[in-house]
Amino acid sequence: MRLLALDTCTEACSATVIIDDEAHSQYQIAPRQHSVIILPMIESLLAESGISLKQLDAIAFGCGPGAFTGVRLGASVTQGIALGADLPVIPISTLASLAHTAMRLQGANQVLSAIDARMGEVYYASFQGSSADDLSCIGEEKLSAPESIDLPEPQASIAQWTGIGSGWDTYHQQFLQRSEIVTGSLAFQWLEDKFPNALDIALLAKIQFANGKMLTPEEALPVYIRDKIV
Amino acid sequence: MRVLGLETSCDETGIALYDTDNGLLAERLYSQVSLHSEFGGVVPELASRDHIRKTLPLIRQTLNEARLSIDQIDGVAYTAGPGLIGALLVGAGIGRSLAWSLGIPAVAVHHMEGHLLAPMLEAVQPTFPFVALLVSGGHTLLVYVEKVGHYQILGESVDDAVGEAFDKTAKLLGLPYPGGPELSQLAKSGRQGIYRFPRPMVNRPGLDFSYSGLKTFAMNTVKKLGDSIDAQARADIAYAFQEAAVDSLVIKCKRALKQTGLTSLVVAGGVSANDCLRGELKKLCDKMSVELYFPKLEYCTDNGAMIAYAGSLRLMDGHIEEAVIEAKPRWPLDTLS
Amino acid sequence: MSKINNYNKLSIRIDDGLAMEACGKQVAEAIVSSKLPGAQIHLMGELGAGKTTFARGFIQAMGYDGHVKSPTYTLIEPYETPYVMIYHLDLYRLSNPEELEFLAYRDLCQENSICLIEWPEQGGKMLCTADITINIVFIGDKREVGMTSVSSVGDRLLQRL
Repeated sequence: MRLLALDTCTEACSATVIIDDEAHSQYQIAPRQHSVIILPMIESLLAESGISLKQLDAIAFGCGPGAFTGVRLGASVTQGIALGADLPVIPISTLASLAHTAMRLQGANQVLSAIDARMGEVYYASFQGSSADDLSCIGEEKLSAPESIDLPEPQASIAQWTGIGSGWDTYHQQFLQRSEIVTGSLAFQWLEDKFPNALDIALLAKIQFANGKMLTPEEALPVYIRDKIV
Repeated sequence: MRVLGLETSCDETGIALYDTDNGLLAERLYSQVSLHSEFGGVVPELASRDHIRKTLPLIRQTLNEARLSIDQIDGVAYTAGPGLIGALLVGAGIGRSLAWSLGIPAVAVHHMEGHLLAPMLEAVQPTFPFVALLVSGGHTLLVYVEKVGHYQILGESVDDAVGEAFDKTAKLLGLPYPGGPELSQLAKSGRQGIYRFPRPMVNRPGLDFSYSGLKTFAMNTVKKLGDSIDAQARADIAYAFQEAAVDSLVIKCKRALKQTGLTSLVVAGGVSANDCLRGELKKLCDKMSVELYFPKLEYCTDNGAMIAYAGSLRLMDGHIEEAVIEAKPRWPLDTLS
Repeated sequence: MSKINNYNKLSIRIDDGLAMEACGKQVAEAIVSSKLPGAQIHLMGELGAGKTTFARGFIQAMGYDGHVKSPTYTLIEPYETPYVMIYHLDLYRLSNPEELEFLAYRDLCQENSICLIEWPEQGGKMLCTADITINIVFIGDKREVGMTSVSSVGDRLLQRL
């Protein structure tokens, strides 16, 4: 199977082309430059992997949460390419992609992903699993102040958790001061300086593709988390 | 050459297909006015969120109407500015990526150039060079249009746009958003000579406009009346405001025509739908033996057709752009070539 | 223009619009000369007090050479200057601080930028804390501009001024 994945939701801009078990990736921290670099990045990856857009089976994208402008840019680019090349799309959560990064790099199987939402808040969610196939979100993706996030339920035995994402980079002190962690019923290690990466989006999208979970180009829509106001 | 045009610079999603041999093939327009009305003005993030939901379905409808498939288009034109950055990025992102994936050229179009060239979509067209007055909620511009791509700004508003002043004054008078058209309606029952508003900047040389003072004058007039303001007083204020706003536009058009010696005047933008403005400009142009052109009403406001048309001219010219998504919230018209 | 200087307060008498623009210019120059990467500036004062005039002087002093208008209509106006991005916001029309969400305010806090915010009262607790608040009051037909520093960044700025 052949898949293109892209992500522009946060400070990082990345793209990946997967041909069966072979992956070609580019990843760049480039605030405010995503609109300039994303198409050339995809173009060079396709050239490197020796395939054309028409030979792809689907296009996956980081659908959020993240910066509103970045989330929308990724969705716009995906819509445009998918319409032109007549491809189905696969949206992947940036929080899930971060959990997969922790799993891929450290073999973590319990992950709390958190992305700095600014204004003193984080987007976050907890994940469990042992591989891309069974990675699942516990509860739902939420937005709240770091002091008041819902931590995973403490298990009978002390559970080892991994934290990842810009939310952890900014607010690890607030997270680690929570009583559940201080008293030791939850144990956290923290993986620094990680942003969503198209490689993880592609690896998660592969599973969705195998399960036939694909959408039409117009369904490539952003997930803002915060989309209703009181 | 068949060109798909995308307009998403503000609160309308406009899509059109223009064929350089056969003219306009199909178009679709979706207006977000009802979405923004409860806020009393355009809300940028809401606008962007709506554009990304609407653009692709509208492209499909436009293609269906023209009985064409996506791979039968030869170029894409998208509005790259000026406008709301988030809203522009949606059209630019979709348009540029679509062209890239089809392997066809794309062109970043200046929104105001679209408006300037909109009269060329009509059966009877002005001939170059001409003077253009662009009046909308976001712009008040007098432009010397030498030919396609050659524009010289003769004058512009130094503060609020004229349409903005209409909407704000309407709000002051208790009219719902967007109040401009309702204010004109109300002005019809207003009486001449009850209030006299200043004509901003007409005593100064040059062709610039200023409308924030007019809005403040309206505010002070309403304040002075306090609780004694009634329906007739509101209508009288609406009348006096519109009279002053239109008057200053007409005076500057007259000056621009005299200064350039040109004999064609093109009026575009949302405010060009205003009856009072149309009537007064007609009188002026009759007196000066100047040809007056108004694009039809649907091309006065934002639309995809004008973008497809302006883009087609540049693409026919062999214009090539890199696969970079361009959005320029501020983009001076006179930097085009 | 006369100045009264306190520990973290500064107050300036302003005679007319030109002096108000000059005042905005001074604050801008202080930011540049202190090499601050960004700042949150809250502008308070009644309708017609001169908030936008202050902002105009500020933005043009930062090197933006176009017209600066009130952002009442678009709620937010971005200005790209050689030094830094400036966002000029007018929150007058917000009926609820939560509506800041619809100005993509979160995205603005993402980067080093200067936010000039008119009617910050309407943004409530959702706003990032100010570095400096500028309060313009009417004194007859003249104005008094009171600047108060609320952060260490603000302190550095006021010292410069």
